[in-house]
Amino acid sequence: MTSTLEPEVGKARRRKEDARLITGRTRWTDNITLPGMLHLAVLRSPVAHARITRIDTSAALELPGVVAVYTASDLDPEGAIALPCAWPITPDMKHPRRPVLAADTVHFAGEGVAVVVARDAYLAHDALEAIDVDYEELPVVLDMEAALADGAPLVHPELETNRNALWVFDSGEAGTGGDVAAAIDEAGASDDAIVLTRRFRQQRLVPAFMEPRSTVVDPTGAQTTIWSATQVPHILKTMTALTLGLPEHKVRVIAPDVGGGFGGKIAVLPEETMAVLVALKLGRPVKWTESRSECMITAHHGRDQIQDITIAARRDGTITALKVDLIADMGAYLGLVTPGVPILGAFMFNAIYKIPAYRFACTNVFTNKTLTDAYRGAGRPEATFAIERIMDELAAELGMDPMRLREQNWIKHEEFPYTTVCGLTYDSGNYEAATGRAMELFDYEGLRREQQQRRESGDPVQLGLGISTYTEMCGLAPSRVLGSLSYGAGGWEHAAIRMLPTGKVEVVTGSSPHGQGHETAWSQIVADQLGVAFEDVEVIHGDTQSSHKGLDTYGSRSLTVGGIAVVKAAEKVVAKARKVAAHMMECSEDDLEFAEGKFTVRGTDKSTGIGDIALAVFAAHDLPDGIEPTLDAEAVYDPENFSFPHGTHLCAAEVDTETGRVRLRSYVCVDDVGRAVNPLIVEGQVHGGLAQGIAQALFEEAVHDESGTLTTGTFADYLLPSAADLPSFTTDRTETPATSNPLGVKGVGEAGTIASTPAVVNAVVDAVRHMGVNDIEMPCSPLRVWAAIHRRDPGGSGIGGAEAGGGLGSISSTEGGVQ
Amino acid sequence: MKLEHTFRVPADLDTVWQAVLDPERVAPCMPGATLTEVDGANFSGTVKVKLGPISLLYKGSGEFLETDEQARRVVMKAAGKDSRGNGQASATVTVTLRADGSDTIGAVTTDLTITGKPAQFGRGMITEVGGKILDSFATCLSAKLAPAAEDSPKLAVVEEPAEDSTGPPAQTPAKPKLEAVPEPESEPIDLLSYAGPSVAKRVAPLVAVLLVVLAILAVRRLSR
Repeated sequence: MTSTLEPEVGKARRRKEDARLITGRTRWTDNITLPGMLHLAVLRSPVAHARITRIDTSAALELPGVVAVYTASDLDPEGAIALPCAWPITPDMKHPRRPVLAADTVHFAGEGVAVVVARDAYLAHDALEAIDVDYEELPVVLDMEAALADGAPLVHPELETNRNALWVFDSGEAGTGGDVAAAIDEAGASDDAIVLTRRFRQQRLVPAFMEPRSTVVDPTGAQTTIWSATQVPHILKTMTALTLGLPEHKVRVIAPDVGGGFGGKIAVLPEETMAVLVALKLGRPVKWTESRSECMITAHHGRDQIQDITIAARRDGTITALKVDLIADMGAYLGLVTPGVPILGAFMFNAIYKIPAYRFACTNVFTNKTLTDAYRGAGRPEATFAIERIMDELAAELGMDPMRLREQNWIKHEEFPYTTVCGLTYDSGNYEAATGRAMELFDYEGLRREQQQRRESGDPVQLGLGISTYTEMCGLAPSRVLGSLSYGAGGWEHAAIRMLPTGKVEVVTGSSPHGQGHETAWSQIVADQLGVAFEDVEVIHGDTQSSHKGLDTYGSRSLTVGGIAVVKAAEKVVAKARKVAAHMMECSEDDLEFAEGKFTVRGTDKSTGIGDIALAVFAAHDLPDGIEPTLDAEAVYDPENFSFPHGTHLCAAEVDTETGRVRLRSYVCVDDVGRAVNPLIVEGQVHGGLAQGIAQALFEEAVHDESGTLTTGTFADYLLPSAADLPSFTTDRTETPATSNPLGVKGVGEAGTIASTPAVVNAVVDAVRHMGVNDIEMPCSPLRVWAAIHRRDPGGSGIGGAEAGGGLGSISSTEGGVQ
Repeated sequence: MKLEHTFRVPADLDTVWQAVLDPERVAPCMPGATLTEVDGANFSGTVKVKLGPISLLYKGSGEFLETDEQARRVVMKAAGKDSRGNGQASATVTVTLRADGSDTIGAVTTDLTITGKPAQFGRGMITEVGGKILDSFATCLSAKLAPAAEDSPKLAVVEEPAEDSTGPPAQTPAKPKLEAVPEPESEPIDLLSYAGPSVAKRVAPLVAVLLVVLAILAVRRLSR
C-alpha cells in the first residue's frame, strides 16, 4: 500500500490503458465479428443538390454475396424517421428532417441514398457500383452570404429560407452590462476614442480522428446491442429509442475503446440508425465501417463562420464596447448540437477582459455542404480567435504593445470571483501569474529587439510575435444553464463505486473515454479518496449495461463533472464504512478518523482497514441494526458552475517575405487548469491541443468546388501537420485551484486548441504588419501570406482559398484553374 | 469551370463548318468518345475516361442548341453520368469558326461541370489536359478533312488560357503546340498520361511546379 503513503493525485503516472491500446490488444468496433454477421456499404450521392428521379437496385441484387439492397422507401416508407437535433436554440428555429437515407432529394455530396447488405464488406462495396441512380441536378448554394441573399436557391425549399435561426445576446437587454450601440456611437463621436471593425473567417475543418466511425448491431439477444465508435453511448441509447420508437430498456449501447473523437463522434449517425433498422429487418447482426474518404465527406465538419467584430476603446486602451455579428454554416442538416455550437462561443468573446457593453448576434445558415457540429472547443476557439485577433489589431491602431493593452483590460487576480458582461461568474484565475511566467520563458523583450533589427536590416525573413491570453468555459455544464439555453438535456454526471470483498474497487463512470486516460485519472482519485492502491482500482465505462447512467464525454467535462461524481460516490462509501467500523471496534462514529484507508479510534492505535470492513460487510454476519450489507454507493453530480481554465500562449513566427513560408520559431504556453490530477495527461492534452490549433492557423481547410464537391477529401489534399511541421513546445503551468469543485480542477481537453490558433495568426500578421498587412485568412499558407504581402490584398481573401492542402484536387469554390 | 481553346485546321471554312455540324464526323475525333445514336439535332454516346485507378464510362446524350450559319457558330450541350455511379458531367460547348487564309480557325468555349470522384481527384488537372484533348481532336479532324496527300500535316494550335481574373499567374495553363498523335477512337482518355510525359516536354515549368508539390507531399508522408 505504498501508493497510499503519498497522494496519487498530482502524480505523473503513465496511463494504465496505454499498454493495451499501444500493443493493439484492445478490440475496436471494427474488430468485432459475430456469427452470421452481414456487412453494410452505403451508396453516397456524388452531387450536392439533386432530385433523385430513379433508383435501380436490381443489378446489385444479382451480384454474388449480396443479401439485400435497401433505399429510403424500404427502411422508412412513411418518411417519418428524423435524426435528432438536441439543441433547438430558438423557439422559431428552422429544422429540416434529416433522414436515414435520402428519399427524393439529396442535399449534400456524400448523403446516403442506398445501402447494400452483403456477406462481406468487399462484396458490399463492389455492389455499390451496380446501383443505378438518376439525379436531376438542382442549383447549389455553398457560400453563406449568397445563401442569405434574396432569391438564393433554397437548400430546403419547405423551410422557405436558408436561415436556420438568429440568436442574440445583448448585455443591455440582459441587464448584465451597458448598451452597445450607445457605447459605440459615443466612441465614434469622441476624438479620445476609436471604433475598430474587422471581418475574420473561420475556415471549415475536418475533425480527423484516428479511428473512422464504425458500428455493429446485434438484434439477436434480449436487448438489441449497438457497438459504436462513439463519444456518447448513453445519449445514443436514449436517442435511438426515441428516434425509432424502440423501448429504451430493449436497447444496449457499447462504446468499446474509441480511437479519438475531438467532438466528431458526438453524434447520432444515420448509419447507426440504418444499421439498427437493417439488423432488425433481417434478424441478423450487421456491421458498418467507413473508409477514410467516406469519413471526410460525411462525418460532420467543424468551425466555418464569418465573424464581423466591432470594438470600441478609449485612446488610453480601455475597452468600452464589443459587438459581434456571426454567420455560421450549418451545412445541409442539423446534427445533435449543430445549431448550438456557435452559441457556445457567445459567452466567450469578452474572454478575460472587463468589457462594459457587449452584443452577440449569430445567424445560422443552411448550405449544400456536409453538416457542421462540435469540433474540439466547439464555439469557443472561434470566439477566442476573434477577440485575441482584434486585441492585436486594436493595439496596432493605438500604437500600444499588445500585451500592455491586454493587461490594462483583463480581470485582476484580486477581482475574482468576477461576474462578466455575459453574466458568467469566473470563480478563480490569475492572468498576471500565467502571463509573467510565459513572458519570462519566451524572452518577449529579446525577441522584440530581434524583430526590430530584422525590420531595420530589411531581412527577407521577418519575425513576428503573437499573443493569446485566453480563458474558456468548459466542464459542460450546470443543468440549469443548459436549460436556460434550451438544450435538450442536463449536464450532470454519474459515478458508482463497488467495494469488492477482497478490498479491490470497481469504479463505474458515466464519462466515456476515447483517448483521454480516464481509467488512470479516476484510479488516482479513488486511490486517494478510499486509501487503496492505484492498482487495486478498475474503471468500468462505455457499456450501458454496466455503466447504466451517464452523459458522456465532451466539452472538457469528464474530470470537472464525472471526476467529481466519483469523489462524491467515494465520500458515501466512507460514510457507510464508518458506521460498520464503529460497530466493529465498539466505539462511537465521532471517535473515528479516516486516513490512508484506515479508520482509527482517536487516541488509540486501534484501527480497521477499509478492506477488512468490505469483507465483514460481504459476510454480513455481524452488522449494526438497520445497516444494509453493502458499502457500494453511487452519486450524480450536477456542477453549480462552469470551469474556467486560462493561460497565456506566445508564438514567435518567421515569415519568408519572398516565398510566404511560415516557420514557427518558438511556442510557449503557460496554462492554468487548476489542480492537475495527472500532470503527464495534462501535458499530453496540451500538446495535442496545440497541434490542432496550430493546424487551423497554418494548414487545414475543407474546400468545396463550385458544384459542392469536397476537393480536400484525402489526407493528401487536407493537410494535417506531422511532428516535423511543428516546433518543440515550451509548456508550463500555474495552479489556481477552482473553487467550484472539491478537487480544485478545471478542464484541459480543449484549452490548447482554443488558445493556439490566434497566437499563431497574430505572430504571422505581426511579422508583416509593417508591409501593410493587417490580416491573413486561415490557413496562413505560403500562397496566402505571399499574396497578402505582394498584392496588399487584405486577408489574401479571394485567392488563397485556391489551395487548401496544396494537393491536386484543391480548388476554391469561387474559381477554376490548375492549382 | 470555363475553358477556352482555339484550333486550326488546314481546310476551308465551309468544309470545316459542315464537319462540325455532323456528329458522326466530329464525335469519333473526341478522345474516348463513341457515338451510339444520332437523331437530327440530338445524339447519344459514351465517353471513357481513366483517372489513375479510377476508370469512368460516361453514358449520355447531347444536342445542338444552336447552329448559326452566318456567325459560323454552333452550340452543343452534352450531359452524361458514369455508369458506376462515380458522378456526372455536363458541358456546353460553343465552337466559332473563322477563315484564316486557306485554313480555318476554331474558337472553342467549354462550360464544364463535373461531380463525384473525378471532381474530387482530377479537378485540378482538367484545364491542363483540356487543351491537349482538343489538340487530339483537331489533329484527328484535320486528318479526316485533309486529303490523303497531306498525311502528316504540320499544324499549329494556339491555346489561350482560360479567363482567370482572380488566380495567381502560376495558374494559367501552358500553351501546347500541336503534336500529330492521332488518338485511337474510343480508347479511354487517360487524364494522367495526358498530364504526364507528353506534356512535360512543352510545359516544363508547370510540370516542375507539379513535381515540387508532389515531392513536398511525398516528403510530408515520409515525415509522418
